[in-house]
Parts: sequence; C-alpha cells; structure tokens
Amino acid sequence: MKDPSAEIENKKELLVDLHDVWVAYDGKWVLKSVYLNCYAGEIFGIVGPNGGGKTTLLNVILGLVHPKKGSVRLFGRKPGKRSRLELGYLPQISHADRSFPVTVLDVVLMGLYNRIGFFHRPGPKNKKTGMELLDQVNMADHARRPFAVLSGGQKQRVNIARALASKPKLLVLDEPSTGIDSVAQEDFYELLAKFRNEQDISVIMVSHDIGVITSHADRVACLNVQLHYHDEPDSCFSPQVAREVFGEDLKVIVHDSKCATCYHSHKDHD
Amino acid sequence: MIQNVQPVITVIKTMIDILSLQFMQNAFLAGIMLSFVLAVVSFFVVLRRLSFIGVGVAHSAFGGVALGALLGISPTLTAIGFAVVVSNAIGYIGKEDHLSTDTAIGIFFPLAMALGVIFIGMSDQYNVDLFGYLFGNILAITRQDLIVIAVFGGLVLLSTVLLFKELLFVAYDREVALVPHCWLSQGRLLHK
Repeated sequence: MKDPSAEIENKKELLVDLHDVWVAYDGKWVLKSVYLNCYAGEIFGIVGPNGGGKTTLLNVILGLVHPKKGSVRLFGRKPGKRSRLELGYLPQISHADRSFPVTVLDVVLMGLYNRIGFFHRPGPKNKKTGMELLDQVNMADHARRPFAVLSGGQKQRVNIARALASKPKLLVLDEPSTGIDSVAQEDFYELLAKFRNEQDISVIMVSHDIGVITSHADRVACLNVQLHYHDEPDSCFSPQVAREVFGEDLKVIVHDSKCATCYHSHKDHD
Repeated sequence: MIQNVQPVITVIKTMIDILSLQFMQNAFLAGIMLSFVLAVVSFFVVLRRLSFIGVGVAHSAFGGVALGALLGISPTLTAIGFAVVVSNAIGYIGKEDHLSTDTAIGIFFPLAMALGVIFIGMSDQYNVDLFGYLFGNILAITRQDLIVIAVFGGLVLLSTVLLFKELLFVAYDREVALVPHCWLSQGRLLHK
C-alpha cells in the first residue's frame, strides 16, 4: 500500500466533509456531533458495533438521511444529484442476494442506467462498456450466468463493477465482506487497492470487523453514536478507545504483526 | 372419417354461437386485454415479493363498495378510493414500522373487509348484491368497462415499456437505484 500521509500531503482534495453532524431516529440520537474528513486517494474505514450508526453515517454521506444539525459537503459542494452521480454505492449484500432473474451483465448494466437516461434501452455500446467493467473485476467469463448462482465473493465483485459504471470518484461500501470467505475477502480488498492506485478511486467502507478495517484501510474512524477515533490504523486503538466504542464486554485477540492489540467484540454476530 | 369430423364441427358451431352474444364478446375481450396487462404488472409484483398484494387490495375494495352503497354514491369510485388508500397505507406502514409487506397487507386486508361488513350493517337496504361486487362476474362487463380497461391497460403497458429498466433496477436494488434520485426516496409511493 502507498504511504497515505504522503499522498494526502500532495493532494488534500477533500471528498467528504462532515461538520458537527447530529442525526436522531424516533427521538433517539444515532449520531452525535460527528466530524469526518475523507481525502482523495484514501481508503477510509469506519468500524463500530452494530447499531452504532455506521449505516446512518453512510446514508448521511449519500444524502438519503438529512442530519438534524450540522453540514455535509461532498466533493466540496452541498450533496446534490451531480455529486451523487460521482459516488458508487454498495449496500449490505443482504439487499440484493435473493434469486432475481437477471444475468451478471444485466446487473452491471444497471450501473449505466443513469447515463443511458429514461426511455432508452441499453444498446450494444453499453453492453461493451459493461463487459469492460466485468473484465476489470475478472468476471467477464461469467457475464451470461444468472447473478443468483454466483458465490458471495463473485457477487460482490460484480457489485463493485456496477458501482464503477458511473465512473465514481468515491466508492461507499457498507459491510462489504459480509458473507464472503477470507480468501475472497483478500481478493476483494486487493481489488479496491488496485482501483485506488490505478484509477484514483477513493473508498469509504464500514465494517464491524476491526481486523479487516485495520489491515486494509489507510485511515480509520471508530463510531458508536459519537466518533471516538480518527487517524491512521498503525497506531491502533488504545484499550480505552476500544472500550468506549465496543463496551466493556471485549475479548482481546492478536490479529497480526501490524495490529497486535486489536479488539474483537462479542457482538460481531448479532 | 366424416363421422370423426362431426363433433369438431359441432364445437366450432357452438363457439360461433357463443361469440355472437354481446356479453360473451365483452367477456373475452376484457379477459384477453387484462391477461396482457396483468402479466406485465405481475412480473414486477412477484420480483418485489408483493404477491399477496393482489388479494389484499382487491378484497379491501369490498370496504369501498359497501361504503358507496351506504352513502348512495357510485361503488366503483369508493372502491377505487379504498384500494388506493389501502395500498399506500401498506407501503407506508411497511416502511415506517419496518414490517414485512405481507404483515402490512395482513393488517389492512381484514381491516378493510371488516369495515365493509360494518357499512353493510349500517345501511338499511340489503338488496344490492355486494358479494357480486366482491367476487365480480366477467359476464357482467359492459362496453364502457372495455373502454376503461383499454385506456388504463394501455397506459400501464406504455409506461412499463418506457420505464422498464428503471422499474427493474428499483425492484432489484431499491437503495442503489434511488441514490441519484433522492427525491424519490422521500416519497411514499414506491416503497417496498
């Protein structure tokens, strides 16, 4: 991986800027005073327990949830249709994993629908673009297969191809490794790093899996209603931060050489 | 040989006799038109796992029919009103209270039917054949009904052809489909 700090020094283009964001559902605060900056060229990880507001935070960035207080800026502007077209979004896999009678190519073409516009069908040119996108994620051989028969890792790669179809500056991923085995996970994160390095596509991803985030993100934030940590993963979490985010009920596991004091929550499988 | 042909001729003759009747013509035409329109609509209904909604909304219309009979206005209008209100309520409740659509339909279907029974009880006249309205009778279709089916069915088919890929995307992955069009996610009409 590149040295993220050098990268940021050179560019410093601010992609996402959340300033004092507060969100409430049913009278309960889900996000309290969240400040978050994500720069171009970063893979930014957000970890936190289930119910800690991670998905809500992504929805705020996407403009699907409007904060009660605070400001959101996307690519230096207020979020609008144009800035949202520069985003590639991948929700949690459970939303689209059912048996739906579409082929792999059909799924990728959905990412092009906004460009094709109303009242038009995807033409041969769009299909060629779709095949190129599939080729980028090494799924071109599967283009004609039903999407439902793919493995979790393959589905996720196709979803990434779909998200890339809008030529995004930023990919927003919600729990991207759910339902994928560890080998496929490694492939998947390598793919993200490849797109970051070759096409300068930044990534914001959310996970409850600290190990995954710390080994694949340039910078991390810990979220449990409030933001507890906002820095590079190398310095890792202090036991205090981990307790604040995940509560007292923690089990310490050694993850790898890079992250010897990572914490794992019992709530992972809630 | 000739003996074998005879029953076939009889059948064809009978069919011609049947089709010469006005009400049978109407019934066939309506059935054929609706089979095309409903086949297309049900594609999306099944994809969005809303199969139960057909029964739910159709039976809810019974409440509207009874209300129309009670108030002495056209039962068709009140039935349409009931169906629209109930289908939107199903979408709204399902979304706001995070209920499955089947549960939401299961709430409103008996509610609307129970209201219908109350409305019938409240009205003195019992001579209107309300159950005829509920289950319908294809032989009772008039020329006017045919025009209504043709116009609205045509509109449904046209909009489905024009917006097929958008409808497919929303049915497949609502969240991703709506990200560039956030104003839609604020609306209540397209809820799962």
